[in-house]
Amino acid sequence: MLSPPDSPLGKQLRQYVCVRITRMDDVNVALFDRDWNNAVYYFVLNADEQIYMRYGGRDAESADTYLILDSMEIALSKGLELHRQYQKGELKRTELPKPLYPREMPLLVKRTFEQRACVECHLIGDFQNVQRERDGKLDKLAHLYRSPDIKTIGVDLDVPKGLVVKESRGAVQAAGMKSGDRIVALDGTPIWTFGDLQYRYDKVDRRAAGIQLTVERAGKPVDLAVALPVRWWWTDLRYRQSSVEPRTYFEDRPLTDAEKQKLELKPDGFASEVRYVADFSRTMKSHELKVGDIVYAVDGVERDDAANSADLFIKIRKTAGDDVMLDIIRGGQRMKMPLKTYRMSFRK
Amino acid sequence: MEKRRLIFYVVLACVIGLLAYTLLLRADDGGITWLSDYKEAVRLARQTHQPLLVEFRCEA
Repeated sequence: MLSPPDSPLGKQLRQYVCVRITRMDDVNVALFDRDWNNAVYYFVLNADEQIYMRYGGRDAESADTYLILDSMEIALSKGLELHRQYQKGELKRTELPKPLYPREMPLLVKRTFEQRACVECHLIGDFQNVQRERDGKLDKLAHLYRSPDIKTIGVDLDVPKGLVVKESRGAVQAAGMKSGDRIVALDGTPIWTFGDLQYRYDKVDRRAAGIQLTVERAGKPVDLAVALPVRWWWTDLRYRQSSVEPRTYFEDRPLTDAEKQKLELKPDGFASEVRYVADFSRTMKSHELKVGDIVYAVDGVERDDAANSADLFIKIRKTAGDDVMLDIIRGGQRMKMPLKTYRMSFRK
Repeated sequence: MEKRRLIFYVVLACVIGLLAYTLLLRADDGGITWLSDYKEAVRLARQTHQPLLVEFRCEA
């Protein structure tokens, strides 16, 4: 980090005890819970392990979209203020989560400690999901589609200013959010940084119809009831593609209503056009799909409450390793196409 | 005399070892000291009444 001691950020950092952790071996992952696919992430807390805020988070576009020194300066300044309040007894203590250490995660131990390999951050998340899957507790909409993009509901932040809204569109605009508003709470929980916002937003039940965002406008709090659009939780997983199961080795795009009508497909179905086929599909003998194929059913199912494309349907409804039968249209001809899904075995 | 010399070298080795260990636990980043031991950081934060900034960084 570029933080000369006499710079504003440097002066703030000197008021903190700074610790940099590059191995997760002895970290309480329950306390420092986060999206594990972030290469850099910060927590501001005190010696009682009361977390004041998170700083970090990213989107599919870039790892650095929300990481900028100006917003970090704002966050660290707020962290010092919260610490003063805590010391005066003005902040309520929160109950600490039951500690969980990587050595208590058997699958992770086998893959890392026993092989003297590094306990990388993303492996924590990956093995949490493998364990959830084995325990029948994996909720793919929440655990696979982590950290939904706030831009999907129309929040475009003025990043250097932290949580100040640059532009509002879609769902949040309909709820009354305006440029210049500063987001201060989600469903009543105070948030100070984009990291806080993304973490709390990720905790929203994927079946929820709406959330309450509180913004500060002209010094006063304003509650906004935001109606969540269909698939608000969907987010581009390509940057975390090594954590995605099952693997299908193709990408698609949902057909439009007009396209479905022309092909006499169900209007509410998840028919989609194949836009990309990974070379690996041939190597793995996963399928023989071609760009331009229309996939309109998977194992005879043509519609789903959550999925709007065949690839999404497979990802959220099938388990890695499953063999499925696709119904496709190629060159106007309807045909069957077997597809074998895969697991990233070299990772877990 | 030999015994004294041996003790001297043992003590010297311990001091150098301790110094090296301490340096390994601390990294200087533009004048900011970054510890690498979380428990030590918590202990220091308690002692100095300072807040903690914990950075998780993947260097794999």
